[in-house]
Amino acid sequence: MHSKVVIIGSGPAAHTAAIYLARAELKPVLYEGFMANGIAAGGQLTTTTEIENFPGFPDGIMGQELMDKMKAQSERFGTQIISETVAKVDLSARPFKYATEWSPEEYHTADSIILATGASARRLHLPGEEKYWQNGISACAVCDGAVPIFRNKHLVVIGGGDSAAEEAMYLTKYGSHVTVLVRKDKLRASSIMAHRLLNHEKVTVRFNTVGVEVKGDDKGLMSHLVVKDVTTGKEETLEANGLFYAIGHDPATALVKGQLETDADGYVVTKPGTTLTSVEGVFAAGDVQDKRYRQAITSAGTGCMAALDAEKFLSEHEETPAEHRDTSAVQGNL
Amino acid sequence: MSDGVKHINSAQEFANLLNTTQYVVADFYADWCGPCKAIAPMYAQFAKTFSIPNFLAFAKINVDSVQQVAQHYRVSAMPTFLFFKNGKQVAVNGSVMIQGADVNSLRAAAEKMGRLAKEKAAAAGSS
Repeated sequence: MHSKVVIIGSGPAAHTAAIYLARAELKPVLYEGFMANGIAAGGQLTTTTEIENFPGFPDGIMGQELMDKMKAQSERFGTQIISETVAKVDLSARPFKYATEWSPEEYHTADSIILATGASARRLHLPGEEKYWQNGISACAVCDGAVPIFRNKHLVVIGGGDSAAEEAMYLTKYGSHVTVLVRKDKLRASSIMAHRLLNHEKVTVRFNTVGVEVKGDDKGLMSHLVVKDVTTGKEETLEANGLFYAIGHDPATALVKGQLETDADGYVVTKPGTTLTSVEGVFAAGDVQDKRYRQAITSAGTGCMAALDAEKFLSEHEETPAEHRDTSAVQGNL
Repeated sequence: MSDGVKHINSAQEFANLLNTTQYVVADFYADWCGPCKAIAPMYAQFAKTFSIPNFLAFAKINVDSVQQVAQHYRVSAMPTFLFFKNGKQVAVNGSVMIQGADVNSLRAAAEKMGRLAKEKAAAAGSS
């Protein structure tokens, strides 16, 4: 299959780009992936609850529902959405080549690519983490919060930002008590979220505290978390049947490693004020290139920019290489 | 032939299914779980392809509304897929459960149970 423009991603950046490109009749193909990067199609918003800061939804909207709507809007204008994960890309020549996880030998081509692969939640890799991963430790409170092993149990969230605050408050619906471990002496969360968290009767925030080791019971489920006060160095074992990480994200750039310029933290570098990457014809949008704002609305914004940048690029390169002849040296016509 | 996915609404209903159906696959899920949603169309497809009344059923159990069953089987992540033969929990292809939207493992397990159920159904039909 050859396409003028392929979008890799499934979040607000990807779908906004798709809406603009489809409306420009460029027939975009969007690879939403299947559990790409460990997250369901729709991206990080599918792992959250209510979105209260996306304009146009004064009563809030569930993350999953917002993504369902964005996807429906992409489809409405003719975006072809493929639920397979792009596993390989070759950006060394145009048209670019790529293959999917389930058909790794079958290469497709594209004149331009919009990379909107996002970012995924970071893990701590504490001792015991591998053993109790998904047996008490979860990267998605919204996905797993309702499982029976967390009901009326003591749960721990690690992190001090908005997502830690959101996860902790969500978990109060299920757990008996939620302890939030914050490495520093203050929360990074926005003041409205911090206020809600600190005043929640089922939440205890412990500052200057880090997780050290995950321990479990004879049934293979997590039962305790060893924590350490970083100011005194004192360790303590807390009863905890659930552990949730909210300690930031890593950009999903494995796909283009070594092919696109990235910064020290692995984010794709774009030309300031644009979505242009180090490879002409490849555009980056959303969290994969944004370590500063990382909001649904800013992702949507850069998705729109990528679509407009790609549209301009495509219009400037309309001739295919085979048809393109350099005629500047031709003198006259016989 | 096919009767699709069995939506379980109570512990009793699940017990009845285990009593009346030789092989059962159970999908423990929640409404707002993205990975559960991602794999749901594949699960429905397996149910459509492999279900044989009284021999193989594909059940869906919402851990929020049927907590008792999820608790009993100590479901700790979502989705979780469990397997049963003659009412007893069994491993398939060496796995006692599949956690997460692991479509390849689930497909292999569904195919294997489909084959076993088909043999049993054929044997029952010929005797």
